[in-house]
Amino acid sequence: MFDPKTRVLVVDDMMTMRKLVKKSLMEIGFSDIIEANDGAVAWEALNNSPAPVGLIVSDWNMPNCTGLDLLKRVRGSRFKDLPFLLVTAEAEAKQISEAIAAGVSGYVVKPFEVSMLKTQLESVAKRSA
Amino acid sequence: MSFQKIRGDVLITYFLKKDLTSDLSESLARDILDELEKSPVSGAVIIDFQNFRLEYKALKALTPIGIELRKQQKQLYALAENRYVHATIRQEGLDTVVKPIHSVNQIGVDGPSPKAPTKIDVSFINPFIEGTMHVLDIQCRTKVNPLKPLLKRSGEFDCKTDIAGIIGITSKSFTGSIALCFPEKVFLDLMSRMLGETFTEISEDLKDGAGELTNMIFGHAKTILNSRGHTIDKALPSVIRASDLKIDHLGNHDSIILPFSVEEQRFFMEIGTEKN
Repeated sequence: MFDPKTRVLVVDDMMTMRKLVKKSLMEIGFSDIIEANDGAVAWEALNNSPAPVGLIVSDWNMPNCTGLDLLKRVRGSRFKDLPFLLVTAEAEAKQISEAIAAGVSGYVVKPFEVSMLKTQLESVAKRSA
Repeated sequence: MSFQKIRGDVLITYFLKKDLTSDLSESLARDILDELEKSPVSGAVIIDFQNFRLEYKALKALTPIGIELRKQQKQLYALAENRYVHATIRQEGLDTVVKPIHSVNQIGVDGPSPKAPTKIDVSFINPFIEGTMHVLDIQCRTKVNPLKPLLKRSGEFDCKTDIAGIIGITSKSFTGSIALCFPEKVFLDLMSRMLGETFTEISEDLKDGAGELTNMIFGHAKTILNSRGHTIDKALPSVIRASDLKIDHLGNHDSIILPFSVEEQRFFMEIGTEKN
């Protein structure tokens, strides 16, 4: 599993979803959580964070820069090995394949329970180790 | 000025001279309000886009104007040949408050035309019913009971709406929108359970929760319907917050009401679709 001290970047345009994801991550044990309200802001946060970000948990459907756009940008940069989890209501096989092709580390379909998020994070941590 | 205005007895028409950005939209909204304060319009307010584009954030300033006009049985129209303008409004689920039209001939200043009766298609609405039950169970730890679906025109269902999450539906064969409508207390109870805090008012921060619940239910239903051959596109939700809100859907069709009960309170989903 991830070190609980890992800095996590939560990306979602909806404030309530950021709150929900943050609350769930805190229940799992994370405490260093920063937030961004779209992919473009997340990219800035990733580059300017004083402590390195160790995990991104992002929504897919966002205005301006989507979660998929952010994922592609991350995979094409110096952060290419950063674990990247998509938490999204997009559950169709076509979309999941698209995310996998872009290099997503894990995928959680909304609505989700904390246990589902934890299980996904455990698999992501195992694959990233 | 970035727009030109023509005021007649029935219509106020604004002709844009540049793309409608959020800044321009705010000054346009202020001007419309000033005009309506001077004297109410008897027909409609039209924004003629010419060939200019629409920034989706610009819709925010126009939404309260559209709602206010609807309360007065009037309509705000977006007249545009550019299909992108229509698609943006529909994707934001705002096509009832800012109605996109291609021609002024589509303006019904004498009121909406009668709606054709619509059958309730169980195979289409069931994924939305299941989705609502599933999403609220998992995300809000709340069991809700579906009540008998009915056509809106029957007038047999009455439930106050203080906040609604709306999402536009576009597909190859039909377009429309869904609205998840809550009285304030039901919404606050659901958000309190979802986020593990007690909320007593619908703050700016909290209201997007209505959009997110709608988004999850739409995502659930879309997955099922597309697996059966539909081609429903992705869309972003929007939220309308107003006291005793009435939702209407674009087109000559009847909306379907899916009522739910939760601990002796009620809320509902409205679905309005029309064949392309």
